[in-house]
Amino acid sequence: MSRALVFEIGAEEIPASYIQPALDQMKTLAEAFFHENRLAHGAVRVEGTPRRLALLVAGLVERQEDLNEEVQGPSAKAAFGPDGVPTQVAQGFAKGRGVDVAKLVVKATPKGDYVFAQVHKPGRLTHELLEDWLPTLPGKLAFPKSMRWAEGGPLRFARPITWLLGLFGERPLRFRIEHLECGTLTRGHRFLAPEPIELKDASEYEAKLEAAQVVLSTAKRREELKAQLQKAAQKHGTLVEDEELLGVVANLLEKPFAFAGDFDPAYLVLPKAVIVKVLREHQFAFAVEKADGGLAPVFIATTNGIEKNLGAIREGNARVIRARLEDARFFFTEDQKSTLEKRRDELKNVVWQEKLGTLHERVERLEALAAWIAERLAPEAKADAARAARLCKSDLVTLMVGEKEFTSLQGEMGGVYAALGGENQAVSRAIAEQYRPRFAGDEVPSTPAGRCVALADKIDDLVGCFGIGLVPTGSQDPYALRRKASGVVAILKAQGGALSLTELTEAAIRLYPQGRLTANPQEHMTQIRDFFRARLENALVESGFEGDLVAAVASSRSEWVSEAFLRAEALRQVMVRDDFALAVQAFSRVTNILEKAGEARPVQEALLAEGAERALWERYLAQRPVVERHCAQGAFIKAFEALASLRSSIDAFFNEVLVMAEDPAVRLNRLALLAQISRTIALIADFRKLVKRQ
Amino acid sequence: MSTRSSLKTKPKSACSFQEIILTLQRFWAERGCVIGQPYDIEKGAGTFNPNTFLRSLGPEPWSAAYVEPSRRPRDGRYGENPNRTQMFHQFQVLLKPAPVDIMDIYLESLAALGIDAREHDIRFLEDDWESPTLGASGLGWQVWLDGLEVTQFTYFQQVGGVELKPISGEITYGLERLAMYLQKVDSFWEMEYGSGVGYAEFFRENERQFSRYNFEAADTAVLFKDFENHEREAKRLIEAGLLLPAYDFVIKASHAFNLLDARGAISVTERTGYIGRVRGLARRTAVAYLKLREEQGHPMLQSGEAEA
Repeated sequence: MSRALVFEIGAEEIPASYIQPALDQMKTLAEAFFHENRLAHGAVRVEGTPRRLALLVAGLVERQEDLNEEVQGPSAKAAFGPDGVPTQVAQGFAKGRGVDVAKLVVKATPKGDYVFAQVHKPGRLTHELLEDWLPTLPGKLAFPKSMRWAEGGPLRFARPITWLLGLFGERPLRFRIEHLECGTLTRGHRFLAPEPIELKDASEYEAKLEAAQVVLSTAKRREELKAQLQKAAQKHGTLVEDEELLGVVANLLEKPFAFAGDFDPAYLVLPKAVIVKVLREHQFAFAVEKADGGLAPVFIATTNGIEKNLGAIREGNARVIRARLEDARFFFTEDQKSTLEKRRDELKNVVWQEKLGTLHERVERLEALAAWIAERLAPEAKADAARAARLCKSDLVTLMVGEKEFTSLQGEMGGVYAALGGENQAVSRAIAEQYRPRFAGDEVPSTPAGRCVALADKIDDLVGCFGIGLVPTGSQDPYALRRKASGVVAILKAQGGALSLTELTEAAIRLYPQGRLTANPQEHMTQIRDFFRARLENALVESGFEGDLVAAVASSRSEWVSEAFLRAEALRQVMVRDDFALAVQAFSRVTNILEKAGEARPVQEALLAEGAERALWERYLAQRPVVERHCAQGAFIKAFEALASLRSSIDAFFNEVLVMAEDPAVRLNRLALLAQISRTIALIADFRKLVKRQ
Repeated sequence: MSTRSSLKTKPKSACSFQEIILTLQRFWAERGCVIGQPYDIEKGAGTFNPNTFLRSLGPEPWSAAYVEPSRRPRDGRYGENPNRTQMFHQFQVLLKPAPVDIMDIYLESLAALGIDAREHDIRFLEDDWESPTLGASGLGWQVWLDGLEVTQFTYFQQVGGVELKPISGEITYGLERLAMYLQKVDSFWEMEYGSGVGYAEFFRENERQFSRYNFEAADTAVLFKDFENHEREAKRLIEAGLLLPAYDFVIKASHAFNLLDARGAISVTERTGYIGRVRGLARRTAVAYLKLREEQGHPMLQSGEAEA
């Protein structure tokens, strides 16, 4: 026999971002509890609103399964006297396990003979187990911040718990948590259905809430909210979708209702991003786009299911939005009274990082660095990149970006002000996109100039922080250096071209004044190189390459980012070929022997005595330029094929020639030959890192 | 005299600024709060009032409500901004311990102001509060009324660096915001204060003059000296066991800091240091005050409820 279970923790309004993580924990804890206690069950569901976290279990058995287990006790020697009579030890063990001494059995184990008890535990009633366990559940949920209330604890929770509901089928679950008694009452919508609601059976839960103006399911609330928002937007254009905001708002409401309000079209002079931000940050409201891509002078806001008296609600929201747009317009107008060029001087007074100097010094470096990068990667964009870099931090001292709510528009506002100040489109876009990619998977800057500026921005930051010992450790990465290094990797990958991480790092370090970076120069370079290599490996893994392949690719030439991706892709394609394993075997024979060889020298042809070594040398000399040419062109499959054509010569060499010849000159010459080949192999990968596949 | 009768016959607006204060005072008095008065020292928020800061410490119950003119020198806009000023009014309620139905009581207070919760969008949005100067923090919400933040609602967890037990509930109404909403106007300067006097007539010149003082005229040398003196005096008085006077100087030091901050006289790096100094004083005062109340046997604990 089984029944449904409902357990609801009623609370004062729980922060939106806390709800789902708490529900996930509740589910995990419940499943673990059922498992440990041998309670068969159907689907486990967790649902939450700002005022409740609920656990719903279908088909939970009424009684725990009986337990039959064999428990090991003391050794037979200790348990029985020479006469076979049970000792005190045996008596104690039997008593502790609740079995008759006469029923103990002796069994052989690898450690000798031991006494065992056959323990039979009848299963307990599920509701009793629940009444023991549920009171401990709320205290086990972890929140980003938790609090005490009333008399001051010790129980901590996201917000004060106000009621507890527990029903197992028709059976009310009885227990207390501090001053709160678990009961059979739930609450509906705070205002629309304020009376407590009595439940007679767990199965009534969701329907009764629905009747009391609460949509229990987060997914359903989100869906309803989206439909409502779209409907409200329809008349004016299309809703500017914002999945993150949608998720937040769905968890701010128990019953979603959306409506449209408007603002003075005069505010449309503001950049789109600013208006969207105002609506989002202040009112959790959505913007509406017209067919031409511009915004409609409209906002879509929500209520917690209140539909009456909508005029006053709309006017209230409109008034706040109006005030905020007015603030923004004031900043926008004031900001345009100066230029980015003039504001660049103000950066002299702004400390970027105490040990690394002012923002003004930083933009001076960035200007030089962006130009240098452009010369290497996109010579045609050099002037734009340098100009954009020169002005790229000026927006940090504008009123708009100085305002807390708009700080995240840094860069973007710079782009807007640059365009208004007459900069060309390439420059303003490069400024706007300098912080990209802002997160893993975000787009890289869309133009070559933008990529140069974004690279300069990130690498200057990285070498600076590493140079004064601000190196991320473990989970500690307060300056988001991992993200920035991953950004460098992503941009180099997208841009392609011939610029290595090592060159980039050295160029960035050169621009810092002497003595500013206090780290030991060699250690500094090594640290950054290793850091980048880890980011590259991470990026390769994220692109779907398998771990061993990533290791094979990254262990050589990891400073060449876009090439590493090409090599990985080529490897992925050739490794499924039939003769791949044989080629790898041949390459490995070459590379393995060198580990014992020490330093490589030039090959002396005169010392190549035997036919097989001469043949290999000649084959190699013929193929090397082919391999190198293909590598330089990024055609790594062809490079691999050219290299693999040496296979039979390599095999013949190892079969017929003794590398470790007695004559040291001959021996060293053979090692030199292998070292040369090995170096060419490393242009593609370290094939020894690959794991054999089926 | 005619003055007297004219006072009697002035038309009364149900949602004038002063009517809101009177309604809230009556409401909370009926719920058992002692109606205190603003504390007579410049301060940034009602939390600084000893009726909140000191009384939230320790086991003794306390329920108080009062208006607090609050000064935030940096927020001055010369009386030009419609809703940003360097001085505004809070209506502060402190309930210790916070009753289990504190949110319902709060909602009743809105009803007393004529706000029907079934016809307005009232929302409790996560907003945790922290005062680095007072070493105080709490969890709670900002309360939205049709999209406008009208109240800050906080369960204190820590005050003066001391973990609280029991927990106080602090309800802080932003009176200007609330009045603006109820009067359906877009600007403080369009609000009615009461008895026929406009909010602008009452406070606009105040904003102009104090904005000039805060941003331009305040003598930073004097203020730096003030800060040092207040700090020294607070320390001396704590040593002397004169905790209430000592706390006055903590508030004064905090306000001197706020003025220096508005004058741009304190760099970003120095800021943390100054805030830390005030917090240090607040912490010492709080600890000493707790000890004092304990020595006095917690006079406000009812007999039988005294600590075990």
